[in-house]
Order: sequence, then structure tokens, then C-alpha cells
Amino acid sequence: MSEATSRTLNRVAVTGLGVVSSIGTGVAEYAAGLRAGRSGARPISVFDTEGFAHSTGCEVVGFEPGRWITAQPVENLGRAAQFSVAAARMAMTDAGLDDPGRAMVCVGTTDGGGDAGERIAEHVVRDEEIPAELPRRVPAVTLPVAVARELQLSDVDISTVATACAAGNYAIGNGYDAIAAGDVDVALCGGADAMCRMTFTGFYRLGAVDPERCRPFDVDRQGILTGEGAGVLVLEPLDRAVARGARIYAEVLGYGLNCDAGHPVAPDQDSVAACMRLALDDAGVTPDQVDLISAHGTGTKANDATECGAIHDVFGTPPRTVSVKSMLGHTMGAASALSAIACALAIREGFIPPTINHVETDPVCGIDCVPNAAVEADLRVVQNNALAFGGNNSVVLFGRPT
Amino acid sequence: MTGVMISAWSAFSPYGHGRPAFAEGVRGGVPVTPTATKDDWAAGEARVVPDFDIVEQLGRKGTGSMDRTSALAVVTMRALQRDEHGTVLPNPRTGVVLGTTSGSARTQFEFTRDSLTRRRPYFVNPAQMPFALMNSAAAQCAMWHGLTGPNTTLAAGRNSGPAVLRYAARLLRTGRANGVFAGAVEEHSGARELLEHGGTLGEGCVLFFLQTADMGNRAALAEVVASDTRFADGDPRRALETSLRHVVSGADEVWGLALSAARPPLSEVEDDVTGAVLGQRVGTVVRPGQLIGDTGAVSGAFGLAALLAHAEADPTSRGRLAVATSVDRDGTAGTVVLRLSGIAQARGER
Repeated sequence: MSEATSRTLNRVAVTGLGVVSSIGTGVAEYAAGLRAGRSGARPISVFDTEGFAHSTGCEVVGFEPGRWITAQPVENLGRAAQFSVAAARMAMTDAGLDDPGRAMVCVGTTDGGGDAGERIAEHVVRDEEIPAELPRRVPAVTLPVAVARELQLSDVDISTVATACAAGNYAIGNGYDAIAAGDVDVALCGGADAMCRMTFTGFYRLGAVDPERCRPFDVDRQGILTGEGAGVLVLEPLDRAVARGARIYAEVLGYGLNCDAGHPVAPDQDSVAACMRLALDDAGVTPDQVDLISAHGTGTKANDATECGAIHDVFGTPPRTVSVKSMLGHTMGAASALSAIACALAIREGFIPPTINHVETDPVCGIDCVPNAAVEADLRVVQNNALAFGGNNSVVLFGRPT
Repeated sequence: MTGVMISAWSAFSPYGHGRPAFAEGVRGGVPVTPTATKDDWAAGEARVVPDFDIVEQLGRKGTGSMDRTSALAVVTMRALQRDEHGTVLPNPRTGVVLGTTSGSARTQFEFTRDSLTRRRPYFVNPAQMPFALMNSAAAQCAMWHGLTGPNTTLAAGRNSGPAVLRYAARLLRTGRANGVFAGAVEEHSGARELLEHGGTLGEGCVLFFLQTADMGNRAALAEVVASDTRFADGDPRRALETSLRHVVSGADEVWGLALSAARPPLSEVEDDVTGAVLGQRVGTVVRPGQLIGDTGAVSGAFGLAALLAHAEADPTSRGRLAVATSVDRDGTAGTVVLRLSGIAQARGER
């Protein structure tokens, strides 16, 4: 925000969290999983993995859509839309909000209903008739629309941000601006994705899928594990949250967006650094005030080296820098939303989630990744990084409410 | 009032390449003749962008696996900049906001097919992967045109018009971008035929260049007065009526109206609701869907572009409002309201 306008804007509070993840569904289970350093890795079952030499992923198991989805037929929704509704419902309940007033629903996603698209393609390839319910599950807009339907919202700014693996942070940024400006009273924002064949196959073909476990920043890291899930945050004006006695997890301090405008898949260190600086400036925070970075930290050779290089460029001596993808895998459009929720919980509960599966830190990364075990910590400012194919970077800053 | 101005636009459409082709096409009002299309996924009669070959447009470098969606967006952005003879000057904080339905369905389907049918499931073309993602078109625009500002893809489907303009206006008002290329893109393919229900499909891309009033260094074509979306579960009629009544206070100021749906029942919803709210006195009513087919995510942007094309030929539009509606089966609807300056974007490529 420019100086001229920032004084008249609302401060923005995080008052509700909803989570569907491979390490726990619901904010309490998720927080417990983060504290315990739980791993979501298991054999992939949602698509046929025959012919791949290895197929470990971080799949959500035991998800019961009927627990969360009551206002519409579950079978009308794709898996990512089901996750979105569940996480949004949980977040609203967690926030203690019944009537949201003027609302925003903004869901970030990489694949949207792409898993249904894959099944359509499969039916065509096998010369089979396409089941009627599949085409209507494909459009990515079904994710936030399903949320609006479930929560019976009418005056609602609905959008799907499809900026690949940085989409969750984009959605949070959009919600932050809308609340700050007073465009809406409540913003439900975050991200969701379902495990799909395309992302797994693509990363596998690039040699960027680890056979067993995701080990960000480790000298022997071999890549990502594909994952799935959803994370939704409820944002509202801080003064309104205080007035209604809401529990405030954290304050959104600001964010930054930029684009590498370079290589389609390889991140650009200078551009990633520039995005962090944009976010810090927007939040009015200096690098030395940041207590923790929740990194994009995919566990690929290129990402972790480039991202850590950018962190060194901006911070000199970096704060502790963790990757929750070590536990959750790469949940694509949900990734930065789940990471943002980890940031809010870390601030509220005073701990740092670990980077698990860690043996030896790669000197190229050169950061303290809080290996394998959570630590207690008094956190005032936490930074959440997200990088995406296409060079779409987004960084969000969270702070302890004051 | 948002203080956000449209200073220029361009389009690649079934009428042809660039703004003049579309402007003359919609003013002429003759529907584009559908052509027979066929690929590995489906055959269909569709209204496609004529003579559009990716390599011919962009050369061989970087286009080997490029999807048609990305290519349409990249060339439309190029046309917009050429059209303006350097008055649209991107800088490091120039952003891109693009609407889509699902990105390039064809690229996604081909990638999946290769994985399912080749000797090994991972014998896919890795270069194709970034083009299968929904953010490909916006990211390619940034790469080809050197745009390092915010770069956002909104998968808003038929309501991409209001969704994109609202988001872009927010980027400008907060100072996150000092200029935004905002619009939408949709490609035609057999894969998309499989995902849509009947009707003649169309394709294309529309981009507007947006700036805040204080940033503009030239006369704007229009101000974005409002962009609004509503939801009424399974009841697009109610959603659209609520939206329209919220953003338009009286019919007298309305000079032109763009209806986005290409066919019933959604086109009837738009006809009924706009008739009920605005009456029958609006002089200029455009229905681009009937001229260029169902262009999905671009239908709203084509409506706005059609209104701007008519406005530059009609002095009575000056200072009055142009309204574009959009509606989808799920019960989402939206409205964009522009105030027309009556200035023609006259100079330009032919």
C-alpha cells in the first residue's frame, strides 16, 4: 500500500482456520500433526500408479465429505471442491461467525477440477461413454461456488485464483486487500487441490519426485511428494474481531506479488528476493524483525537452493526457515494456504513446526530448518513464501496481534 | 467510482486478428460462419479465430509445446501495444490479470492421454507441463512482454468479466500495480466440446489496458464504475437481478447493454432481467455470443469490447453508461458498468 492510503485502511485479523490435510483434518488435529512432525506420506491410491517405479504421495485418507457438505449433493462436487467446502465450513465454525454479511470466497488452486478432466480423457482413450457428472466437476470456479452454496452466501465476491502452486497466498492477499479497503466484511480465502495424475506424472518425468519422503534443504533431497488437501482462513477487520471478542490467531501485515517473466519452471533468485522485499515493505517490516520463514521449500534441488539464496540475499543472516511440505508433501494450490495456517498457529501457540526427514543440511541452503522436532518459540513476525511455475511469486507476512 | 480507466483494448476473435477486425465485425452485426473442426477429442462446428497458427504468429522459439490459449493471449497483448504506437508502456510494476474457465483443456487431455497410452506412464512431454497449468497464458504474457508485476489468473468462467475487472481495480487502487493488462482468453478444441453442453462454441482473447485516472497519460476510453458478482443457489435470475439493481440506479443514464450468454436458457435470463430493471429504452444492445459463438470466459470481455466499438462510432454515448452482464447456470451472475468518454481509439493498426 502506498503511504497516502495506508492510514485509512482496516487492519486485518485471522480469526478462523479450516484444514483438510494428510496429517490431520480440523485445526486441532493439524496443529497436533505440525507439533509432532507427522508425515503424510503413503502409497498413492487415488489414481492407477502401475508402471511408475515409485508412487509415494501425501494423500488425504478417511475424509468423510458428508460431515461437512449438507446443502448440496456430494456427488456433484469434485474432490478439490469437497475439500474446499469442508475447510471453509470448519473455518467459519472456528471463527464463530454465523452471518458473514458482505463476503468474499477466494480459493486458490493449481488443478481445480482437473482430476475429473483426467477421467474424461481416460474414458475417451478407452472409448467409453463419459459419465454425465464429470464435465460439471471440471471448471475451477466450482470450488468457491460450492463454498458459497454451502454457506448460503449471496452478496459475495467469488473467485478462483489459478496461479498454480502460489495460489493460496494470492487468495490470502486478495482477501487482505478486500478487508483492508472495506470492500467486504469477511473473507474466506485459501487454497485446495486434489491429487491428480497430471502433476504427479509431470514432476516424475522431470525427475523431481522423491521415491519415499520429502526432505527439503537436505543434501540428499530428491524432490517433492505430491499431496492434496485444503486450507481456508477467515479474515475480518481487526477492530471488528476485537469488538466481538473473537479469538485472533494472527494479523495479516501485508503481502507482495511479482512475476519472474523468465523461465517457465525454474525460479529466479533475484525475482524471488524482490518479491520478499515487496512483502516486507508492504507490511512495514524490516528483515531483522522476521522471526520465522515458512518457505516454499518443495524439496527439489533447484527450488531449495534458489529460494534459500534469495533468503540470504534479503536477510543476510536468515531467521529459522522451515518447510511444512516435509510433512504435507506439495499440496499445489493448497500449499501456501496450509503453510499460512501453520504460520498463524505458530504465532498463536508459540512453536515452530519442524522440517522432518532431515539428516544433513545442504550447505547451498545454509539455513536452520529446525530439523525433525518442533521447538517452542515466541514469534512476532512470520513470513510465508510461495513460488509457482510460470514465475508467479507471492509472499505474505503475518504478525502477532497487538 | 473506482478511478480506474480503460485506456486501450485489443482482441483476437472469430472476426479476425486485432481490434479493428472485431470492432468492424460487431458493428456490421453479421454472425461469423461456423467452420467444421475436428481433433483427437471431438468434432464440431465452431467459430474460431481465422488463420491462427502459433508458429506463424510467434516463431519457433518457445512455442513447440505452447497451448493455443497462451498464444492467443500473447498475440493479443502484442496487438494492443502495437495498436497504441508506444503509448501503452509496460514497466516493472505492470500487471496481468487473465480470466479463464480451465486453461487449455486440450493440453491437459493430451498430457493425460500420453501417460495412459504410451509404453511407460511417464513417457510424457515435460515441456508441455507448464502449458497444461491454468496460469500458463498469464505467465507467457509476462515472459513474452517482460512484465514483472503482479500476474494473476482468475478461473472465473463466464463471470470472468466482473471478476477480472474487480481484481485488477484492486491491484491498481492499492498501488500493487501501476497499470494492468486485464482480460480473458478461451481456446476452441474438441476437449472443450466435451466439457460444454451444446451450442456453437467460439474462442478468442480480449485485453484491456487499465490505469488509475492519475496515472493515465492519455485520454481514457471509459471509466470502470462498478464490477459486482452475486450468487443465488441455482437461481441465476435472482443473482443477476440483485447485481444489476445494486450497480445501476436508473435506466436513463444507460446508453448501451452487452448480454454475454450465447443461447437459451441463460440468454433469456439476461433478456428478462435487463428488461425488467432497465426497461426497453436502451438504444444499443449487443449480444456477441450470437455473432462469434459461446466464448466462455471471454464472453463478458467481448461484450465490453463490443460496447466500446459501438461507442466510438456513436457520439451520443459520451458521458453515459455501458452495462455488461454475465450469468452462469450454477447461480452466479455479475455486472460491469463503464462510463464512456466518447473518445475513439482511432489510431491503430489495420
